[in-house]
Amino acid sequence: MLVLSRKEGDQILIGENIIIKVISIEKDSVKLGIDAPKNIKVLRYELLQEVKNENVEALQGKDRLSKIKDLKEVLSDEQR
Amino acid sequence: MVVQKSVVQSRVFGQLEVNEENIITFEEGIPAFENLKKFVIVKEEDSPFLWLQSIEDKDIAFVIINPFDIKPDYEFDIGDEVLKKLEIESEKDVAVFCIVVIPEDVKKTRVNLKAPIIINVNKRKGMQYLLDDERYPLRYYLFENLNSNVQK
Repeated sequence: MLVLSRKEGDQILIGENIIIKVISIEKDSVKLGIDAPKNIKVLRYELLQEVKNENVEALQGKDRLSKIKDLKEVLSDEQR
Repeated sequence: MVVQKSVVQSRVFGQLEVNEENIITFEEGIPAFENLKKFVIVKEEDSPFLWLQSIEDKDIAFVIINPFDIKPDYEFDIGDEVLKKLEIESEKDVAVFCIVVIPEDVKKTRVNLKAPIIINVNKRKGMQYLLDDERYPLRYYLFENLNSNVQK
């Protein structure tokens, strides 16, 4: 991993057209500006991890088939 | 035209007969299941819920729902890269679903509004799209929100 020291306002160029700018530095967080072409996905890494965890949890429980029937009933009760 | 049919084993439905033309390709898979590329949507009778069943792994079936059924004001922009990837040309091409998590206590059922499944229904291409949008939670509790709608 390349490790760089940067000051507030400094930038980093990745490839030909991705620029990362250090906007501000506070006690325990740094604000970054990312300028990348639209076809490049920029995401907080934790978000992907959270979505993965949620997808795995969505598959838990072998009796979801019966539960989905309960759910149907509860849902129609609520909507009544 | 000859419709190609194949029989898929699934834990939820047992033997499931699938028309080849109904198979949706997720080129990048689904986060945490990147190796699975082919899915089919199976409807639940008289229910807002559907299943997104993997063709390649019988144990993998997500419960999904049309988010507009539970949150009519749900909206987001689809980025250019997604339009391109899914070959979306018009709004009519697009169907949106969200994954439902059903825990032991069904009253705590939640819906992932943060990462909708976007499908081009004409080209049969899909992906789970991660929205970095503060308006929509990863865990939208279905009944809490239904109740609050009722109280209003």
